[in-house]
Amino acid sequence: MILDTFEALAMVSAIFAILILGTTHLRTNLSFYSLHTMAIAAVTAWIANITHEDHLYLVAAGVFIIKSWGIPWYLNSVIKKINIGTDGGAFIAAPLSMHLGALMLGLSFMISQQIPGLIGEPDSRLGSTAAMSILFTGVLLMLTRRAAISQIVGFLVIENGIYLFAVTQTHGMPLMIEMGLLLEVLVAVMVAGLLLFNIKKSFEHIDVSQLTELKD
Amino acid sequence: MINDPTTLSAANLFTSASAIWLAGLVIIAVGRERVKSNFLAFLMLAGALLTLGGAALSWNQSIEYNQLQYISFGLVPADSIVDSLSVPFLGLLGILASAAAVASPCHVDSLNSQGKKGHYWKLTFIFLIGLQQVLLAANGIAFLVFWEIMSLSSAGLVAADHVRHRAQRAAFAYLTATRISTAFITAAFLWMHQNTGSWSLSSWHFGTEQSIVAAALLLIAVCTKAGVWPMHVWLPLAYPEPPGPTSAVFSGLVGNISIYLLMRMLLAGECHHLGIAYAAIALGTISALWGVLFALMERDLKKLLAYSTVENMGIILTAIGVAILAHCHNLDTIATLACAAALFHTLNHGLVKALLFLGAASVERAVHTRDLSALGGLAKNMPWTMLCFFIGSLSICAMPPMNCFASKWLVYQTFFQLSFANAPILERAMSLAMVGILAFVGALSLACFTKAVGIAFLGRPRSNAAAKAKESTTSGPDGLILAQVILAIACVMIGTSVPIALDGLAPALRHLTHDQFVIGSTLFPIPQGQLALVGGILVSSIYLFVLGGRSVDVKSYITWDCGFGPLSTRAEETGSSFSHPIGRIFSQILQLKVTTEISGKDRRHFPESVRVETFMTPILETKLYRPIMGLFDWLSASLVRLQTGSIHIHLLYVFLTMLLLVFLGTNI
Repeated sequence: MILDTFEALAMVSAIFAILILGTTHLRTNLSFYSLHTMAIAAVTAWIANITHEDHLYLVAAGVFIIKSWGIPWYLNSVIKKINIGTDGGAFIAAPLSMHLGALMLGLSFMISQQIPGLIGEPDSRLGSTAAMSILFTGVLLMLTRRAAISQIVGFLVIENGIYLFAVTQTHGMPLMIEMGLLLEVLVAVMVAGLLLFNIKKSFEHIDVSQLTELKD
Repeated sequence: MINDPTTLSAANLFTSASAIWLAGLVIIAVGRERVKSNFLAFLMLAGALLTLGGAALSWNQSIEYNQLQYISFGLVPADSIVDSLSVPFLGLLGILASAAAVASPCHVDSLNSQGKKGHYWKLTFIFLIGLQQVLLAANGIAFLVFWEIMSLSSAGLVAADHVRHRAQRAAFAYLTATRISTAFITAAFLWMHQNTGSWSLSSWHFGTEQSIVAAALLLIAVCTKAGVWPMHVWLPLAYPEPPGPTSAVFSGLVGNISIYLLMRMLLAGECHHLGIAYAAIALGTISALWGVLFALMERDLKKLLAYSTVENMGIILTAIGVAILAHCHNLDTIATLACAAALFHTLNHGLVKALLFLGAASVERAVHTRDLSALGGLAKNMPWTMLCFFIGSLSICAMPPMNCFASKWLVYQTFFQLSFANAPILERAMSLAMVGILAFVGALSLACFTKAVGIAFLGRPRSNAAAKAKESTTSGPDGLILAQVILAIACVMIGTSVPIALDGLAPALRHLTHDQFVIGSTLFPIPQGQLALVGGILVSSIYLFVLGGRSVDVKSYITWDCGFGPLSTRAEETGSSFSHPIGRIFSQILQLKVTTEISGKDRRHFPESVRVETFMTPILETKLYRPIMGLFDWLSASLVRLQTGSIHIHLLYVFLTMLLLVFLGTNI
């Protein structure tokens, strides 16, 4: 199996995502997230290079600036302000969840071999493997961590997974939509950051497992 | 096709009727209390008459038009079709809506709150538009959309008096029933679309093997909406609730529209499934018996009428069942007779039931109660209502020369013919048995309406309110009375000119039976109108010349005194005592229990007080529906445990769903 360059980059980003699972130290998490998104920006740029779709360069730049610099920087400042260094506790120990993430990567490979109707050119089974693995990693992150900030990171990882799937299989959506999505993610993170302040102020913690009022 | 001048003008008439009703809706929404009710009633009447005119223009030919095509429902635009089957129903809609329009102003003016007035007008206009467009819909999507508009607005009408617990309960029961029926209709339509690839109602044929599922779904849906046993429990709750004038349209058309759907799909669509036919006949028979028994025992005048609807829907359903059966055995004559019986009885029943409901509304307006034990002696104070209610009762009991006599005669004729036809012996035996059952049902319904008329209008008043009842709000007969008179005249006219009416229905019958040589007037060979005329002259001349001369011997008594001399109000026959003997026979079904308690020192010979109580437990509600409701309660209480409130558990659900979808999509 010959790995295309962009497929290799996608795999790198998937591995960075799995590394996020491996530690509960929040700033390290954010650094890994930043690296992981940079790899995705590189994938986008490479696909732009292959397919000569110039608008994808713009999208890559947007992803690089907003997702891999802006958002981690903003979340870092939030962490500093609410003064929390590590995730209080995970339902599954960090090393174990990292291994689970690696298992998920294998599972994603199996799934992506089976997906019917992937007819994009280049038909990238590995790209979809990486994308799906990132998706699962994000869900795993949201499922196993208690701190609200990890939920935000998990959400961002899921979003990256979906984006990567779109970009590897369909060579990106129109520029307007991509930019809209970027903006939306930015706003969502901003709002989530503000909410974090309020949660911290009201409850003295940001442990979402204790927020169980979400029912009738 | 659209260029034909008749077609175009008929289409224009229908569209402008809807437009006028829509305008009425906008005017009342914008103008609020500044709008006079007479003006709105005029708009309603104009729309009704335009519908009637359109029906008259397109009587003999089917027209297709798409004036509403700019309303697109995604899959298909709102095409309209007026064929010979929808024309009679449009005519019925026109007549009933006119009557309701005539009766509306005096009803609305008697309402005290502006909110109720606005509620009445808005929902009535939406209801009428929905009804008309359902009948005009050419494709399944348009049909479903307007069916929903009709159902929901009529649910609003049922909840008109929504502060009352009774109306709330009725509205919920009715909503449940319409939800179920819409769900089944949607399933059936999707099934047919899957089979044929078309949304057009006329392109669906139920002759194929696969279509039996759709036919069964439709049968369930129609039984639910028309109130056929065992899905009729909502009907006695909901039918009495809509405000007076609209109760005519509601009772006359809501059930009939679903019968129309059944005819259009299964009869015009050439259904060839014996199972469906047997199911329809069985459900119809049980429904007829059940309905008439409960109607007989009912104390509430409007509920009595509602149970009588259950009975008549059952009779119509048996006729439709026989029509399908005859299609299966290629018995063309019987199929024609059965189609004629079903169609004619549907229309007649709609007309008569609307008349009776208007009468009940008039009684309720005058006495402020519908309880038969508080009515009585209304004939003196309310002569017009009495007369019209009497005509309606005669008709619904199938007395000659009324219209329902002709249609019930056709039903009997169908079964007689089937029992002598070249069919399996079991079916012939069944149809002979059916004749007996129908006769029994007819007798019970006669008893039931004798009770309704006799207890409510004759005898002595059983309450002060009944003694002081006033028929109309003005000095002369007002709108509500006029509306009843219109419908009563329509009943008598159809009754005395049955061959003409059947000739008018001939195009619809040709559509239903696919037999181009149906001649309507030969189906009913009894010269009912002439006989009635001769009989009327004969009776009146006997009265004038024979009895009139000896008028000295005639003593007049109050009705339930039975010639004994004046009984007090408490001693005379009540509704319950009238129907009690029959109730005793069927006490197993009715769950009728009577407890008598005699007390006193020497209670055998000199009782001091006697206390009699009768209980009726509705068997279907307690034995069938309450356990089902309990099951649903238990299920939803169990399901609520899934909602833990923990974000992580909810995320886990999302994750598991995602995994499930991935596995389903990739066949791993």
